[in-house]
Amino acid sequence: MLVKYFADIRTVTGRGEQQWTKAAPTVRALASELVSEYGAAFEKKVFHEGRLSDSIIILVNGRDVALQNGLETPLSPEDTVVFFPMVAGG
Amino acid sequence: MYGWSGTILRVNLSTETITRQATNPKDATLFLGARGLGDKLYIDEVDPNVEPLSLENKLIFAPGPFSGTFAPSGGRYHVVTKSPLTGAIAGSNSGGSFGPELHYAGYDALIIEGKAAKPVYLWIKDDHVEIRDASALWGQSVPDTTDSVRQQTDEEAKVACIGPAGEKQVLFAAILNDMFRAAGRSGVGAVMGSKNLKAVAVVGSKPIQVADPKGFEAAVLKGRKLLKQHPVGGAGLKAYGTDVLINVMNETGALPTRNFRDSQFATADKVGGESLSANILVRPKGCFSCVISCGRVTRVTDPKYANEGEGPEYEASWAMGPDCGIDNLDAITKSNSLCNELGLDPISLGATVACAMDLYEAGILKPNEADGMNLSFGNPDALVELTRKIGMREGIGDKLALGSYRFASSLGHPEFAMTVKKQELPAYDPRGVQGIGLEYATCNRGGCHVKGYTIAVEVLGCGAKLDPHETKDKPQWTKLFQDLTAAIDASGGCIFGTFGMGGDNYAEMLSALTGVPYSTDEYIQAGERIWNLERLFNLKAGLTAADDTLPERLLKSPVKSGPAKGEVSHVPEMLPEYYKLRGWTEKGVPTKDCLQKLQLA
Repeated sequence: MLVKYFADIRTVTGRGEQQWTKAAPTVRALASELVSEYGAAFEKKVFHEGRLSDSIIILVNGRDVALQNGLETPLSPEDTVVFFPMVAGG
Repeated sequence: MYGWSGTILRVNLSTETITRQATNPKDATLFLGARGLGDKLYIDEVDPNVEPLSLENKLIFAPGPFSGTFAPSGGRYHVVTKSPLTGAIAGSNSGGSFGPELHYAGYDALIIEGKAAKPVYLWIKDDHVEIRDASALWGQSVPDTTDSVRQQTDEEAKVACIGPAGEKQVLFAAILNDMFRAAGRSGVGAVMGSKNLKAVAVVGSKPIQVADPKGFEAAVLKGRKLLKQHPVGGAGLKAYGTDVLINVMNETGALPTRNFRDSQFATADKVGGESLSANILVRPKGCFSCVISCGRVTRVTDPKYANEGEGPEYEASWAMGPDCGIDNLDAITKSNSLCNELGLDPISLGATVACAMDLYEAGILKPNEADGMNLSFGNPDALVELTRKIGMREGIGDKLALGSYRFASSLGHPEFAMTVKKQELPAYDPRGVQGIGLEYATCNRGGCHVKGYTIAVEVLGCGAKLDPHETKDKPQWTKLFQDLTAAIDASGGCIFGTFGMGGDNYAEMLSALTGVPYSTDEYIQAGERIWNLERLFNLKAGLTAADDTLPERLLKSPVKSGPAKGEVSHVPEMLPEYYKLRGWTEKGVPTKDCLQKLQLA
């Protein structure tokens, strides 16, 4: 699974992307593993009181998980998962 | 009057007469200022069939009531005229400090009419207004012009001017103020050039009267707090600038690539906001009374592309980057600097180069017609050289200066132009984000994202979260965004203020400032009134519902790969509902009831 990080989440992870080979059947499972790897700063970006933060956007294969099953959105090894904070421009 | 200065300044360059008139309180109340009051003044005075580059056309600079106050990000002004690129109403909005200064000088609008016999600039210091010889400035770049005019007037003067592109009437020439801020779109710089007007310099010292100082202060502080607390308005835009969107749109599968042939760019990250911040950012910069600071002061040290200045913004980075198949951020930044110096709209510039590259690769534009350049996608040196040639109207640049639609049409292939109403589309593929396509198709100034930015709810999750591939509810969101944006433009506000504030906050600030009570609905309805006024002008200028569409490529050629694979734009299906919501006929004409409701009948 390819996991990508953008904007200030990249400053937390210290890298732009990584291949994820451990088991992660859902977005919640993957995010929890990533919290273990990157600590409280990453947790603060992704979770708010155990829920998906309103300030994070997670895409699985380009589709926002908030429009799917949120943290319970299923994952498979060939997926691309993207984390970026709420940003904007124009 | 409170909020409004109460005076409109009129300068006729043909007769060299300078006059003043009182601002009509009813017009100010109904159309607010800036875009709205500018539209009203322009449309009352100018024949919709006017030739845009003739002396009969007029050019209006108008700050809004917020301009010069401490309303958050409230330092903007609007330029209104008829566009030489689209033949539609042109409204281009800019930040910096020029708008506030014009308001401090005591003016709600500056109307320029006629044409000077030789190059001139306008020097305004409060009530002192003077037309001065600009022969020595003609041909100078925007930074050199700005410096020269300040030396000749006042070092503190705020200067709006054109570069060589405006003088030579490139159809997408911009007006730049404060060196780097641009009223960029629709060729307003070409109209200024057609009048032999090189610059307007302003110093003002008059206060803006506030009807309810305590109420205004409270509303402003509330708005500023909301912005600072918002993840986008508070820290996101300052940290990475607008260019942060490159990666977001690429991952969403809606980053137009190689003239919209594709919707993803493999090396997008090299030109995104993260790379910009890491490699060329000197510091963030804000406009007058801005709490966001999305501007980028940048420096490129690579000798080949060395430059110092501001930008690129997301749109510029995209147009001269992925849309041209280019991932060299130094070259893009160099080209962006050339746009600032020559006075060009970087969106239309980049998209026109992309169109030329597409025609070249298709074998339609022959190598012997390309001044000996290799115009294949991905060539950064061709981009930089074409930018210069277009700005100076040299060689092939003279033809490209007419924009992509006229250039592609001259080769018999208008379908290669990714335009609406002959204006180049911006940086979101409407096959992957359905609502923004409806905005492109219906925007009164032609292909434009910023007058109805549905990306906020379709991709970014600001205010709501909608499926970008769906069409459901998109007409009503498009209408709401268009109306609210028109009201904010007319107030002198920046639409980035909506990354924290809502219509209620704007209505509260405007009410306290002007003493005219606006409910949230009345505030948004003022925007709807402005939208319809612009629509009526366009219809009288000869545009029809047939112009409310997208290029065939976006309607019929599905996205080949990525998250939006298989998608086309569904604008034709959304358009009838949009017309109905607007109270227009099936042919897109505002009904009598609609106009009466908006006090336009």
